[in-house]
Amino acid sequence: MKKINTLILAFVALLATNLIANDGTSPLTANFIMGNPEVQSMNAISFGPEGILFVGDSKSAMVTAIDTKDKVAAEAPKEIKMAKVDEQIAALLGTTAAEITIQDMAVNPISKMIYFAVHHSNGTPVLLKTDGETIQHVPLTEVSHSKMEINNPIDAEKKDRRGNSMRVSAISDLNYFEGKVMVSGLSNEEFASTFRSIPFPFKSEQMQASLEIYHAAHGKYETHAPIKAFLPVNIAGKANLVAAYTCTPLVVFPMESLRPGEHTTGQTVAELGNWNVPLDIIQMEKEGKSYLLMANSSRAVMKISVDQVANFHDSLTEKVAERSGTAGVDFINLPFVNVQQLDKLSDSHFIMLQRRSNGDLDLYTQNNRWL
Amino acid sequence: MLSSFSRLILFIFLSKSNLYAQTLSIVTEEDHEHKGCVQLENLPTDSFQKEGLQVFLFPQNPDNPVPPIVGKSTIENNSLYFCPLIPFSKNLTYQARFPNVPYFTFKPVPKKDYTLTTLRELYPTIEELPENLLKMYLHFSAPMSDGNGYQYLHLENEKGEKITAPFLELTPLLWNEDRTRLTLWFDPGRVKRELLRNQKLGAPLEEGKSYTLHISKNWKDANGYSLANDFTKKISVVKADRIAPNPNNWQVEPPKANTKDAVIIHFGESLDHALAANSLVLYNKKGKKVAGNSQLQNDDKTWIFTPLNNWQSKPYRIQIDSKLEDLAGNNLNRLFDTNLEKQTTPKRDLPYYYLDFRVE
Repeated sequence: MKKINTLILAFVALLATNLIANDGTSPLTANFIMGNPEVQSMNAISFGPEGILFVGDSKSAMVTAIDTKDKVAAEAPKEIKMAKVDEQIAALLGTTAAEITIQDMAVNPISKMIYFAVHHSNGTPVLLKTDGETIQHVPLTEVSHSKMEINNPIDAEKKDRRGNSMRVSAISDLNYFEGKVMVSGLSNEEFASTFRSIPFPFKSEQMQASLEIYHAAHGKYETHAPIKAFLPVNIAGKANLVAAYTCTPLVVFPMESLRPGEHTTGQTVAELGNWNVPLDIIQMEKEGKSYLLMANSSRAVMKISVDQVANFHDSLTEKVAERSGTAGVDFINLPFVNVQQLDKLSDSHFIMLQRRSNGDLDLYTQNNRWL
Repeated sequence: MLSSFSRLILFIFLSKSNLYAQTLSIVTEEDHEHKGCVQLENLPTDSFQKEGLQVFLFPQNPDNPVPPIVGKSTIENNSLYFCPLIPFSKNLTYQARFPNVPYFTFKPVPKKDYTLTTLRELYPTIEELPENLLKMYLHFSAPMSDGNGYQYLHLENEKGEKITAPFLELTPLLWNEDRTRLTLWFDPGRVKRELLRNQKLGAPLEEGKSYTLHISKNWKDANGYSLANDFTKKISVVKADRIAPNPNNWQVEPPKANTKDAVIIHFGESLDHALAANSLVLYNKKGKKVAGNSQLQNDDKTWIFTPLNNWQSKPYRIQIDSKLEDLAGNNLNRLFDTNLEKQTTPKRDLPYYYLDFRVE
């Protein structure tokens, strides 16, 4: 009986979805509600399909999907050059550049609008966007949205005397890939990797999987560490996860090997050098060749050939002769240092938020002649 | 901060024939729904109500004018309010503009009798720390600013020289929810053996040497005020800890039956403060959680549990979460970095470990 009920429910749900879809509403946003999603922090933002923006909110341990309605297709501007973006944002918020931090930047692949997640020093999160000319506030007081709680890895909830949670999983990166929102998080207590894959549209909490992934260093030590930045990448026709760890190995995992509750060891394909925290990874293509571009806290933007990653079959099993203080697959340093944010603007252009040598934080485009 | 705005009042007479007295001010009443907002009182006509109140940073550079500040305008009870998205800053001057009304310039006044925030405690509290120390916790008395805190702390060796990049500078910083506790990581790429950073730069701390961690009072709290004092922490570095914590080696001091005496567990070493405070749960023979209070003492080497009700003359069990770590990030299941060539103990994957004792 239960089975029959389930079937009927599933049929009704399918029918409802189709009806809504026929009504002009996308099935992706069918379960969205209007209102204020009460986002408390914006640590990572990324676009999915149809102008849906995913916001990783560490403070409330949520991923929020926002229908930006920003889905009129547009060509990317040929060139963007915006000087002192932090000062422009600060003026718009009535404060100084020292009081704000740009947490993340994401390009809407449809409209090519560039979105910024910004925090004021008092913790207030603000969403802004720019077309490369002017910066606008994106209010979230009345938006169509859907929320998903990120399960706490340890159930014992610890609160301080003000009733605030002490344990936080700080979201380090977030990406949408083939119907799933993937989220990497850093615990502020145990030294652990939390990597979640949450089916979208959000359904039930049970669907999300917390994955334990390790990496091997020179075949001698196996360690785990939190992932700082990651990107789903197709390598030789198969979906892979390229992850940059906080201790800087670049590790590749076949997506199909990532299963909840299983110990998965990825292939370390490179180590990325000293004094560095990986910040952003994007994928660009040129003349049928695919490249990864990676922004770093203390090193230049790196270019890595996806073909080389695909052909790198030996995990770093031996100490590799020093190559610019790094090891593994080759990568080329592009002449862009102190790039804080990086995203793909179009097939031929990428956009960077860079702290220039004169101290200014500028937003500007580069084209694929660097690839 | 906002409660101390001086109530600035400006009376404007629109014309001789129109004697509406309009008042522009900042709402300072603590319980006011629009506290911290600019208020324009006595709106005279409907046409006025359609106009917006705009607030700008002041002074403006005429060659490079900036847009109005983001905020929300609302009309209630004949008043027009403008509430900025970000509270007005005590260090800046602003100008409110309304059509046909002279500009109104104001500067929020810093709060009087403000209690400065302090760094209350830094864990581990012990001075002798292992070479492969992984984490520290900084506990502040009030919420801190959300921004780059790393610039306010540095590590010096015995000669007073700064150690280059000992910490992993993560964005966002690893704060708790209200930013009163910061988790600070020594760079794991330098602590882990065989990684390039470890080979090239060595571990941030070296055995046998002493260091001082300095935390500057220039670090701002969430209200934009500096800390009350600078803070220093002495570190004497001892041998690296490459042994996972093992509950079988812990010493239990069982209490007496029919008393509310504490049960005391001696770990034999300092454990991670945040995890140790939360990883141990006490159960009775029936598997029911025993009500009581626990605390860490003796530099997080000792766990003390005091029950609400008397102990019974029965067995008890302490459940220990396997995620519990020592100061070097070794947990109950695995070491921080496992040497696969010399691995002597099998890697375990248990969620919990148990420690049994009997009350007599």
